[in-house]
Amino acid sequence: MLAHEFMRNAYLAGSFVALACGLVGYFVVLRGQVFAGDALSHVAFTGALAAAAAGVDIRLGLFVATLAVAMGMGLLGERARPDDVVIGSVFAWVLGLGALFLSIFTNGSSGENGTAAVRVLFGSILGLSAADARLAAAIALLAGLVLLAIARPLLLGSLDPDVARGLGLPLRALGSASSRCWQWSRQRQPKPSGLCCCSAC
Amino acid sequence: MDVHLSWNIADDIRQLLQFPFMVNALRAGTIVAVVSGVVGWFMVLRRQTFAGHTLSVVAFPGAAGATLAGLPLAAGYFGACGIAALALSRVSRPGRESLSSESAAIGTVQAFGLGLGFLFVTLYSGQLSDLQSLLFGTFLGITAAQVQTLFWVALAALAILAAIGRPLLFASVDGAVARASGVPTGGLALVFLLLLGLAVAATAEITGALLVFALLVTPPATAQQITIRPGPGLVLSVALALAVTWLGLGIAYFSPYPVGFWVTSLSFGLYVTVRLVRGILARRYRHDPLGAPA
Repeated sequence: MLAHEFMRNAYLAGSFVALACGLVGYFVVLRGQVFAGDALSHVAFTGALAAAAAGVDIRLGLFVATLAVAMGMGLLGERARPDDVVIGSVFAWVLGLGALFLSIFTNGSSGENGTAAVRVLFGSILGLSAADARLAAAIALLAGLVLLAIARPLLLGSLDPDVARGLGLPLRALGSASSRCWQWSRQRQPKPSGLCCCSAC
Repeated sequence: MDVHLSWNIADDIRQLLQFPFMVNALRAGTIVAVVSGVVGWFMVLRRQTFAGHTLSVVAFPGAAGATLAGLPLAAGYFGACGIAALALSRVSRPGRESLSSESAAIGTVQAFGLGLGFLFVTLYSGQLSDLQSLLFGTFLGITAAQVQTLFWVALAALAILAAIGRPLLFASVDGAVARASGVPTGGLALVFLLLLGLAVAATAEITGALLVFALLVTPPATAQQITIRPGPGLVLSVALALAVTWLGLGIAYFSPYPVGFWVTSLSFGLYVTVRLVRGILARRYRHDPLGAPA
């Protein structure tokens, strides 16, 4: 199995992404932010399609879109914890934008129209180049490290926000920092494993 | 097809209605807007947005599986949403309200559903362009027969909701008190999830799995920003959903961009506007003039 290079690349990227997801996902579940994470992965879809429609690198779209929305959700929500209706409304619109970009992209470039959307949605872990895999691993590692650095205060902030605030912890900053980590690991993920498998981690 | 927008509104509407596909789309959109306006209002009230989203996402593997098995799409939508609603009602028990574990369980159901969808699409490996319509809907390819099915489904959903409406409202607003006074909250939650599944499946057939949400969440959320009273809130929610659907369809007809984009943008724009206005009013009067009695 490991004789093929594409399998080695897939394992390299997959392992590190799984590492980052396991770490970040633990806090996501602890903080009850699964829905937010899910919404971010859909945002990544729109971002990627926007980049594809504009003809720039898909990764740029993923990165910019998830970062912007994660910051926005962190700012809007109470203590950087947006409630589910806000998340739902925001990302219903973001998906609508995705439909728009998809139609622009489809009309603009005849040929492999549906395939791009499928690739973004479900990932293409077996089509990674060695450089892609290394980049994915590096970013996943970075996200994991940032998370470990803020892990203790974040844990306290997640479990008992009132006590943590009493101790003077910067909750809002922590909240958005954690969502930033989350979406770092996330926006790497679409490439390897696809958006939809994120929540599985 | 000579389509151009003019200042003559009557002429615009005549142009809009000159093709049967447009008439069918408007009919289907109207039915879907009414159902999702009502069901969505309860969903927003019960804070089950994530569950609703999961149901709508699960509609996708349902449709893909039905395509693979050669069944009618509707069977896939309704089957998948029904099963998912049952599964969700198992994980989200009222009374054991640990938010994080519940949302994690919902997320797990959803991830599994999407994985299945991917499997079905890969196995089918037929036309991938079908996938786009599964995800983003075929608003303009609706047949008269579909409209009829949709009508009966919608009627059934609304009838059930009318029957359980009062206890459901009670259970949604104050679950503990409702349980104490003998309202079967667990059964109600299950029935409501099934209803939600029904509404989502009906909507997904028209708007696609991903855009159900635009009608199910945003208009009710806007309505609940404006009033918290159930009667006016429900009416307003339906009215907003209808307005958004009709306008979205109309604008999409005259523009090169898809229906889904216009519907979601209009409803999101409304939501943001209402929230902003409400925020300004609240700041000016210091208490909240539109919300709960201060």
